[in-house]
Amino acid sequence: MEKILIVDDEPALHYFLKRILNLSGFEVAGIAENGDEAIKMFKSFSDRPKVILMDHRMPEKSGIEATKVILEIDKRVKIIFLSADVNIKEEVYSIGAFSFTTKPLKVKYLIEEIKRALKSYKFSLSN
Amino acid sequence: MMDEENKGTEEDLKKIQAHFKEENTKRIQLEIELNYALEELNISNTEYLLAIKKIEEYKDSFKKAYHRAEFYKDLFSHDIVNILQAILTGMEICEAEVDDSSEIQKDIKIVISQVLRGAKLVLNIRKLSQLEEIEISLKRTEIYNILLNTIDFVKNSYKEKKINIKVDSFSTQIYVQVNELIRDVFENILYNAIKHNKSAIPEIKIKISKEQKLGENYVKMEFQDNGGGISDHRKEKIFKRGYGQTKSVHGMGLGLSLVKTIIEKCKGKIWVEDRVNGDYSKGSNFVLLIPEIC
Repeated sequence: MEKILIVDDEPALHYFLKRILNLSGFEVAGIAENGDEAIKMFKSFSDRPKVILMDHRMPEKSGIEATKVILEIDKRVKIIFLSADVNIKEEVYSIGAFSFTTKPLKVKYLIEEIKRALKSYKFSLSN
Repeated sequence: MMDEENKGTEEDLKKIQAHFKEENTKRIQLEIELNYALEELNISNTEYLLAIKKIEEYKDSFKKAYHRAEFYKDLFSHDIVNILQAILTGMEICEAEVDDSSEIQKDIKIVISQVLRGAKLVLNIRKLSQLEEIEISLKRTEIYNILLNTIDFVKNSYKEKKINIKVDSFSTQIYVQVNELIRDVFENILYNAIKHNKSAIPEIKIKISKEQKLGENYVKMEFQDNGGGISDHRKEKIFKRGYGQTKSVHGMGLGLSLVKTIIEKCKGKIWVEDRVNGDYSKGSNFVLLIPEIC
């Protein structure tokens, strides 16, 4: 079962994202409420998640700041931004995130995006 | 002889004295007037300085109010979208878990569509307010394929509905001077043409041609639909949501005012006509003129 890390400061989303990911056959590796927590969590994993669902506007450290650090630790990890901040799209791509999606997004699209990220992860391993 | 000479000098002296007296009176008068003027100037200057101070105070309070409004708008739109995301995901989980034939399934679909509508409204408010504040950068863009992609996207959003959209264009490579927001323009017009259409099969014909107006070359795009049409008194109002109005013009939301703002920022024009001249009930024809680039 593929592992996914959720990074978001909205408690209701923790619950629903976890449920939808489990229903779709994924395992939630952890839930971080801010960028700092996400970095600490990512460092602590022995079996790191291949995909991270990342919010941007969070306390302590933003999604962009956390992404820069996480990609320095492991550049293979695919970070999917789920954010209401449309104007960060270009910056998100420029720092090496996998994709940017504007909230709110439908579950079907989210699952397709995760599958696409996993495919890209596997492809990068084989090259 | 001497007496006459003395008399002459005395008269001259008297004349000089009289002249001097007269000049002195004038001088005193002028001094009084000058003092008045200086006093008035002093008052005006004080008033002027007070007015400047007041303007600075107003400027400062407007600036603070503007930043406060921006902060609230930003916070509101960000947080409301997060709330909508949670509702949407929660409803989609319910949708997956409830039996397809259940009545609740229908209710869930309505809630989901309302959540998406709310999200679209928040997004449009953001875009509209950003557009009003900044000059957007225009670049040479091929729009025929953007239009085809948008048609696919819109059709995918209405999978349960049969929709006919035909494009009749002078070319499949059309370059105009626009911004990436042109996609929002096409999307909004197409959504409106479907959403407000009670025909069994919504039909939209998109005619693309070239037009010259006042020496300028334009690409003319006509979005003709078979919906209920727009009566004459509503034709201008539909683009004017928000300013002094508290309600949208029959559910058109902010979409068309966003469309108009984008098109005008691209130095283009937009208006709506009857598809069948003189009979608005046969459907609308949204006409766009966009500056062409060879």
